[in-house]
Amino acid sequence: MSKRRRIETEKDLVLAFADLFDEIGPGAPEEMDAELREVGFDLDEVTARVLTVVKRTLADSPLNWRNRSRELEKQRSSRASFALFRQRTREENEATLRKLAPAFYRNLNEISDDDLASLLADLEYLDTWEQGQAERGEVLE
Amino acid sequence: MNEKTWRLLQIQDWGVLIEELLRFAMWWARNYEWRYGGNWELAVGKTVEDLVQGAILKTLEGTRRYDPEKGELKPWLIDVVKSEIDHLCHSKSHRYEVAFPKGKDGEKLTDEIGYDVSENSSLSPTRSPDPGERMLKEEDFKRKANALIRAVDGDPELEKIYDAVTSGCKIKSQCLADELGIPIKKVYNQMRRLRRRALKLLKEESREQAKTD
Repeated sequence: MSKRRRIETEKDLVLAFADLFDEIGPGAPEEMDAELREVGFDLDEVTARVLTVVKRTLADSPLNWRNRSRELEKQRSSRASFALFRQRTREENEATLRKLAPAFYRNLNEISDDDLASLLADLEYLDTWEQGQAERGEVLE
Repeated sequence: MNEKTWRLLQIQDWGVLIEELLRFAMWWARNYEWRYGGNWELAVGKTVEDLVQGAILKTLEGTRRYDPEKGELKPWLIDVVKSEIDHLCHSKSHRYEVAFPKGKDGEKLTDEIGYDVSENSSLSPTRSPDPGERMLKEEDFKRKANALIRAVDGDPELEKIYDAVTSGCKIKSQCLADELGIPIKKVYNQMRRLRRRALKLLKEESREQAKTD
Protein backbone atom coordinates (compact mmCIF):
# COMPACT_ATOMS: atom_id res chain seq x y z
CA MET A 1 0.00 0.00 0.00
CA SER A 2 1.38 3.40 -0.96
CA LYS A 3 2.28 5.87 1.76
CA ARG A 4 -0.17 8.72 2.40
CA ARG A 5 1.13 12.14 1.54
CA ARG A 6 -0.49 15.03 3.35
CA ILE A 7 -1.31 18.16 1.41
CA GLU A 8 0.80 20.96 2.73
CA THR A 9 0.67 23.83 0.27
CA GLU A 10 -2.19 25.93 -1.03
CA LYS A 11 -1.16 25.07 -4.56
CA ASP A 12 -1.38 21.31 -3.92
CA LEU A 13 -4.76 21.77 -2.25
CA VAL A 14 -6.22 23.73 -5.18
CA LEU A 15 -4.83 21.31 -7.76
CA ALA A 16 -6.07 18.25 -5.84
CA PHE A 17 -9.59 19.63 -5.95
CA ALA A 18 -9.10 20.61 -9.60
CA ASP A 19 -8.49 16.92 -10.37
CA LEU A 20 -11.58 15.91 -8.41
CA PHE A 21 -13.73 18.56 -10.13
CA ASP A 22 -12.62 17.25 -13.54
CA GLU A 23 -13.65 13.75 -12.53
CA ILE A 24 -17.25 14.43 -11.49
CA GLY A 25 -18.97 15.79 -14.62
CA PRO A 26 -21.54 18.61 -14.75
CA GLY A 27 -24.32 16.67 -12.98
CA ALA A 28 -28.06 17.24 -13.35
CA PRO A 29 -29.20 19.93 -15.82
CA GLU A 30 -31.10 21.85 -13.12
CA GLU A 31 -27.97 22.04 -11.01
CA MET A 32 -25.84 23.33 -13.89
CA ASP A 33 -28.57 25.79 -14.92
CA ALA A 34 -28.50 27.28 -11.43
CA GLU A 35 -24.74 27.70 -11.74
CA LEU A 36 -25.14 29.37 -15.12
CA ARG A 37 -27.70 31.81 -13.74
CA GLU A 38 -25.28 32.72 -10.97
CA VAL A 39 -22.66 33.85 -13.48
CA GLY A 40 -25.25 35.65 -15.63
CA PHE A 41 -25.18 33.17 -18.51
CA ASP A 42 -28.60 33.13 -20.20
CA LEU A 43 -28.85 29.55 -21.47
CA ASP A 44 -32.15 30.07 -23.34
CA GLU A 45 -30.91 33.13 -25.16
CA VAL A 46 -27.57 31.59 -26.18
CA THR A 47 -29.27 28.33 -27.22
CA ALA A 48 -31.69 30.26 -29.44
CA ARG A 49 -28.82 32.13 -31.11
CA VAL A 50 -26.82 28.97 -31.84
CA LEU A 51 -29.96 27.14 -33.00
CA THR A 52 -30.67 29.85 -35.58
CA VAL A 53 -27.19 29.42 -37.05
CA VAL A 54 -27.46 25.62 -37.02
CA LYS A 55 -30.86 25.65 -38.76
CA ARG A 56 -29.57 28.03 -41.40
CA THR A 57 -26.51 25.85 -41.99
CA LEU A 58 -28.70 22.75 -42.35
CA ALA A 59 -31.01 24.55 -44.78
CA ASP A 60 -28.18 25.98 -46.89
CA SER A 61 -26.08 22.85 -46.98
CA PRO A 62 -25.45 21.38 -50.43
CA LEU A 63 -26.37 18.04 -48.82
CA ASN A 64 -29.89 19.24 -48.10
CA TRP A 65 -32.31 17.42 -50.43
CA ARG A 66 -34.12 20.65 -51.34
CA ASN A 67 -30.85 22.18 -52.53
CA ARG A 68 -29.87 18.99 -54.29
CA SER A 69 -33.21 18.66 -56.09
CA ARG A 70 -32.95 22.32 -57.05
CA GLU A 71 -29.52 21.64 -58.52
CA LEU A 72 -30.80 18.59 -60.43
CA GLU A 73 -33.76 20.58 -61.67
CA LYS A 74 -31.39 23.30 -62.80
CA GLN A 75 -29.23 20.81 -64.67
CA ARG A 76 -32.23 19.21 -66.39
CA SER A 77 -33.78 22.52 -67.27
CA SER A 78 -30.47 23.99 -68.48
CA ARG A 79 -29.80 21.03 -70.75
CA ALA A 80 -33.22 21.35 -72.41
CA SER A 81 -32.93 25.14 -72.74
CA PHE A 82 -29.41 24.91 -74.12
CA ALA A 83 -30.59 22.60 -76.91
CA LEU A 84 -33.43 24.99 -77.71
CA PHE A 85 -31.25 28.13 -77.76
CA ARG A 86 -28.63 26.33 -79.83
CA GLN A 87 -31.21 25.75 -82.56
CA ARG A 88 -32.01 29.47 -82.80
CA THR A 89 -30.07 32.03 -84.83
CA ARG A 90 -27.34 34.17 -83.30
CA GLU A 91 -29.46 37.32 -83.75
CA GLU A 92 -32.42 35.78 -81.94
CA ASN A 93 -30.21 34.75 -79.03
CA GLU A 94 -28.54 38.16 -78.76
CA ALA A 95 -31.98 39.80 -78.68
CA THR A 96 -33.11 37.42 -75.93
CA LEU A 97 -29.97 38.13 -73.92
CA ARG A 98 -30.60 41.89 -74.09
CA LYS A 99 -34.11 41.27 -72.86
CA LEU A 100 -33.12 38.96 -70.00
CA ALA A 101 -30.04 40.93 -68.96
CA PRO A 102 -30.18 44.52 -70.24
CA ALA A 103 -27.11 45.45 -68.20
CA PHE A 104 -24.96 42.69 -69.69
CA TYR A 105 -21.65 44.43 -70.29
CA ARG A 106 -19.47 42.03 -72.25
CA ASN A 107 -18.78 42.43 -75.93
CA LEU A 108 -21.05 39.85 -77.52
CA ASN A 109 -18.58 39.28 -80.35
CA GLU A 110 -16.25 37.62 -77.81
CA ILE A 111 -18.81 34.96 -76.92
CA SER A 112 -19.12 31.77 -78.94
CA ASP A 113 -22.53 30.46 -80.02
CA ASP A 114 -22.31 27.63 -77.48
CA ASP A 115 -21.38 29.97 -74.64
CA LEU A 116 -24.21 32.28 -75.55
CA ALA A 117 -26.74 29.42 -75.61
CA SER A 118 -25.42 28.18 -72.24
CA LEU A 119 -25.57 31.66 -70.70
CA LEU A 120 -29.15 32.09 -71.89
CA ALA A 121 -30.12 28.70 -70.45
CA ASP A 122 -28.69 29.76 -67.05
CA LEU A 123 -30.39 33.16 -67.14
CA GLU A 124 -33.69 31.66 -68.12
CA TYR A 125 -33.47 29.15 -65.28
CA LEU A 126 -32.68 31.88 -62.75
CA ASP A 127 -35.53 34.01 -64.05
CA THR A 128 -38.03 31.18 -63.70
CA TRP A 129 -36.67 30.18 -60.29
CA GLU A 130 -36.88 33.73 -58.91
CA GLN A 131 -40.41 34.07 -60.20
CA GLY A 132 -41.32 30.78 -58.51
CA GLN A 133 -39.73 31.97 -55.31
CA ALA A 134 -41.69 35.23 -55.39
CA GLU A 135 -44.92 33.30 -56.03
CA ARG A 136 -44.17 31.00 -53.10
CA GLY A 137 -43.53 34.05 -50.93
CA GLU A 138 -39.91 33.09 -50.20
CA VAL A 139 -37.70 36.02 -49.34
CA LEU A 140 -34.38 36.39 -51.16
CA GLU A 141 -31.50 37.10 -48.76
CA MET B 1 -20.42 12.84 -45.66
CA ASN B 2 -22.72 10.00 -46.63
CA GLU B 3 -26.50 10.11 -46.94
CA LYS B 4 -27.15 8.19 -43.72
CA THR B 5 -24.99 10.51 -41.61
CA TRP B 6 -26.55 13.60 -43.15
CA ARG B 7 -30.09 12.35 -42.47
CA LEU B 8 -29.13 11.56 -38.91
CA LEU B 9 -27.77 15.07 -38.42
CA GLN B 10 -30.93 16.56 -39.89
CA ILE B 11 -33.32 14.78 -37.56
CA GLN B 12 -31.53 15.66 -34.32
CA ASP B 13 -33.31 17.73 -31.71
CA TRP B 14 -30.72 20.48 -32.02
CA GLY B 15 -32.32 22.71 -29.38
CA VAL B 16 -31.85 20.08 -26.68
CA LEU B 17 -28.41 19.10 -27.96
CA ILE B 18 -27.16 22.71 -28.01
CA GLU B 19 -28.37 23.25 -24.44
CA GLU B 20 -26.50 20.18 -23.24
CA LEU B 21 -23.34 21.15 -25.09
CA LEU B 22 -23.46 24.66 -23.62
CA ARG B 23 -23.87 23.25 -20.11
CA PHE B 24 -20.92 20.94 -20.61
CA ALA B 25 -18.75 23.66 -22.18
CA MET B 26 -19.44 26.08 -19.33
CA TRP B 27 -18.68 23.43 -16.75
CA TRP B 28 -15.41 22.44 -18.41
CA ALA B 29 -14.34 26.05 -19.00
CA ARG B 30 -14.98 26.89 -15.34
CA ASN B 31 -12.86 23.92 -14.30
CA TYR B 32 -10.07 25.48 -16.32
CA GLU B 33 -10.75 28.74 -14.54
CA TRP B 34 -10.27 26.93 -11.22
CA ARG B 35 -7.07 25.21 -12.29
CA TYR B 36 -5.33 27.94 -14.29
CA GLY B 37 -7.09 31.19 -13.38
CA GLY B 38 -8.44 33.46 -16.08
CA ASN B 39 -12.05 33.55 -17.03
CA TRP B 40 -14.66 31.21 -18.48
CA GLU B 41 -14.98 33.62 -21.38
CA LEU B 42 -11.72 31.95 -22.43
CA ALA B 43 -8.80 33.25 -24.40
CA VAL B 44 -8.52 35.26 -27.59
CA GLY B 45 -12.02 36.61 -27.32
CA LYS B 46 -13.71 33.22 -27.77
CA THR B 47 -16.72 32.37 -25.67
CA VAL B 48 -18.23 28.96 -24.98
CA GLU B 49 -20.97 29.99 -27.40
CA ASP B 50 -18.37 30.35 -30.19
CA LEU B 51 -16.86 26.99 -29.33
CA VAL B 52 -20.14 25.07 -29.21
CA GLN B 53 -21.35 26.68 -32.42
CA GLY B 54 -17.98 25.99 -34.07
CA ALA B 55 -18.02 22.33 -33.05
CA ILE B 56 -21.52 21.81 -34.48
CA LEU B 57 -20.81 23.65 -37.72
CA LYS B 58 -17.58 21.72 -38.27
CA THR B 59 -19.62 18.53 -37.90
CA LEU B 60 -22.38 19.67 -40.26
CA GLU B 61 -19.87 20.84 -42.85
CA GLY B 62 -17.83 17.65 -42.52
CA THR B 63 -14.59 19.31 -41.28
CA ARG B 64 -14.93 17.12 -38.21
CA ARG B 65 -16.06 13.75 -39.51
CA TYR B 66 -18.75 12.15 -37.45
CA ASP B 67 -19.25 8.44 -38.05
CA PRO B 68 -22.56 7.08 -36.65
CA GLU B 69 -21.13 3.56 -36.83
CA LYS B 70 -18.66 4.50 -34.10
CA GLY B 71 -21.08 5.95 -31.59
CA GLU B 72 -23.81 8.42 -30.76
CA LEU B 73 -23.69 12.06 -31.77
CA LYS B 74 -23.96 13.67 -28.32
CA PRO B 75 -20.85 12.13 -26.71
CA TRP B 76 -18.98 12.72 -29.94
CA LEU B 77 -19.89 16.42 -29.98
CA ILE B 78 -19.00 16.72 -26.29
CA ASP B 79 -15.56 15.34 -27.13
CA VAL B 80 -15.18 17.88 -29.93
CA VAL B 81 -16.15 20.76 -27.62
CA LYS B 82 -13.80 19.47 -24.91
CA SER B 83 -10.88 19.16 -27.29
CA GLU B 84 -11.51 22.68 -28.67
CA ILE B 85 -11.49 24.14 -25.13
CA ASP B 86 -8.37 22.13 -24.19
CA HIS B 87 -6.59 23.29 -27.31
CA LEU B 88 -7.50 26.92 -26.71
CA CYS B 89 -6.53 26.90 -23.04
CA HIS B 90 -3.25 25.08 -23.59
CA SER B 91 -2.20 27.26 -26.47
CA LYS B 92 -2.85 30.32 -24.32
CA SER B 93 -1.11 29.04 -21.23
CA HIS B 94 1.96 27.94 -23.14
CA ARG B 95 2.61 31.12 -24.99
CA TYR B 96 5.37 33.42 -23.97
CA GLU B 97 6.15 36.56 -25.85
CA VAL B 98 9.70 36.98 -27.00
CA ALA B 99 11.38 40.35 -27.10
CA PHE B 100 12.17 41.82 -30.51
CA PRO B 101 15.46 40.34 -31.68
CA LYS B 102 18.21 42.94 -31.61
CA GLY B 103 21.32 43.41 -33.75
CA LYS B 104 24.90 43.99 -32.60
CA ASP B 105 24.26 47.65 -31.89
CA GLY B 106 20.96 47.00 -30.22
CA GLU B 107 18.84 47.86 -33.25
CA LYS B 108 15.51 46.09 -33.78
CA LEU B 109 15.79 43.43 -36.51
CA THR B 110 12.11 42.79 -37.03
CA ASP B 111 8.75 44.12 -35.98
CA GLU B 112 7.17 40.69 -35.77
CA ILE B 113 6.34 39.37 -32.36
CA GLY B 114 7.25 35.72 -32.06
CA TYR B 115 6.79 33.04 -29.50
CA ASP B 116 9.68 30.92 -28.40
CA VAL B 117 8.81 27.82 -26.47
CA SER B 118 11.92 25.79 -27.27
CA GLU B 119 13.39 23.91 -24.34
CA ASN B 120 16.58 25.94 -24.28
CA SER B 121 14.76 29.21 -24.33
CA SER B 122 14.68 31.20 -21.14
CA LEU B 123 11.04 31.77 -22.06
CA SER B 124 10.07 28.13 -22.39
CA PRO B 125 7.06 26.81 -20.45
CA THR B 126 9.40 24.85 -18.20
CA ARG B 127 11.28 27.94 -17.12
CA SER B 128 10.87 29.27 -13.59
CA PRO B 129 8.34 32.09 -13.54
CA ASP B 130 9.71 35.53 -12.76
CA PRO B 131 9.14 36.82 -9.21
CA GLY B 132 6.16 38.98 -10.18
CA GLU B 133 4.46 36.13 -12.01
CA ARG B 134 5.20 33.72 -9.16
CA MET B 135 3.71 36.13 -6.68
CA LEU B 136 0.50 36.46 -8.71
CA LYS B 137 0.16 32.69 -8.99
CA GLU B 138 0.74 32.22 -5.29
CA GLU B 139 -1.87 34.88 -4.58
CA ASP B 140 -4.33 33.09 -6.87
CA PHE B 141 -3.78 29.74 -5.12
CA LYS B 142 -4.21 31.44 -1.76
CA ARG B 143 -7.55 32.97 -2.82
CA LYS B 144 -8.79 29.61 -4.07
CA ALA B 145 -7.61 27.70 -1.00
CA ASN B 146 -9.45 30.23 1.18
CA ALA B 147 -12.56 29.84 -0.95
CA LEU B 148 -12.39 26.06 -0.41
CA ILE B 149 -12.06 26.45 3.35
CA ARG B 150 -15.00 28.85 3.47
CA ALA B 151 -17.05 26.60 1.19
CA VAL B 152 -16.74 23.57 3.47
CA ASP B 153 -17.12 25.54 6.70
CA GLY B 154 -20.23 24.49 8.63
CA ASP B 155 -21.10 21.63 6.24
CA PRO B 156 -20.11 18.35 8.00
CA GLU B 157 -20.20 16.29 4.78
CA LEU B 158 -17.92 18.67 2.94
CA GLU B 159 -15.63 19.04 5.94
CA LYS B 160 -15.11 15.26 5.93
CA ILE B 161 -14.20 15.33 2.23
CA TYR B 162 -11.80 18.21 2.81
CA ASP B 163 -10.15 16.43 5.73
CA ALA B 164 -9.77 13.22 3.75
CA VAL B 165 -8.13 15.05 0.84
CA THR B 166 -5.75 17.10 2.99
CA SER B 167 -4.75 14.12 5.12
CA GLY B 168 -3.43 12.31 2.07
CA CYS B 169 -6.29 10.23 0.64
CA LYS B 170 -5.61 9.35 -2.98
CA ILE B 171 -7.12 12.04 -5.23
CA LYS B 172 -9.83 9.86 -6.79
CA SER B 173 -13.55 9.95 -6.07
CA GLN B 174 -13.61 6.18 -5.60
CA CYS B 175 -10.83 6.34 -2.98
CA LEU B 176 -12.70 9.11 -1.14
CA ALA B 177 -15.87 7.03 -1.22
CA ASP B 178 -14.00 4.03 0.19
CA GLU B 179 -12.33 6.08 2.90
CA LEU B 180 -15.53 7.82 3.96
CA GLY B 181 -17.65 4.67 3.58
CA ILE B 182 -20.21 6.36 1.33
CA PRO B 183 -21.41 5.56 -2.23
CA ILE B 184 -19.42 7.21 -5.01
CA LYS B 185 -22.55 9.01 -6.24
CA LYS B 186 -22.67 10.79 -2.93
CA VAL B 187 -19.05 11.88 -3.34
CA TYR B 188 -19.91 13.25 -6.80
CA ASN B 189 -22.84 15.24 -5.42
CA GLN B 190 -20.85 16.61 -2.51
CA MET B 191 -17.99 17.54 -4.82
CA ARG B 192 -20.39 19.39 -7.15
CA ARG B 193 -21.79 21.28 -4.18
CA LEU B 194 -18.29 22.18 -3.04
CA ARG B 195 -17.18 23.27 -6.52
CA ARG B 196 -20.22 25.47 -6.99
CA ARG B 197 -19.85 27.13 -3.59
CA ALA B 198 -16.12 27.74 -4.02
CA LEU B 199 -16.56 29.24 -7.50
CA LYS B 200 -19.42 31.40 -6.24
CA LEU B 201 -17.29 32.69 -3.38
CA LEU B 202 -14.47 33.52 -5.78
CA LYS B 203 -16.87 35.35 -8.07
CA GLU B 204 -18.27 37.37 -5.17
CA GLU B 205 -14.78 38.20 -4.03
CA SER B 206 -13.82 39.39 -7.53
CA ARG B 207 -16.94 41.58 -7.65
CA GLU B 208 -16.07 43.11 -4.27
CA GLN B 209 -12.51 43.64 -5.41
CA ALA B 210 -13.71 45.35 -8.59
CA LYS B 211 -15.90 47.68 -6.51
CA THR B 212 -13.05 48.75 -4.23
CA ASP B 213 -10.71 49.23 -7.24
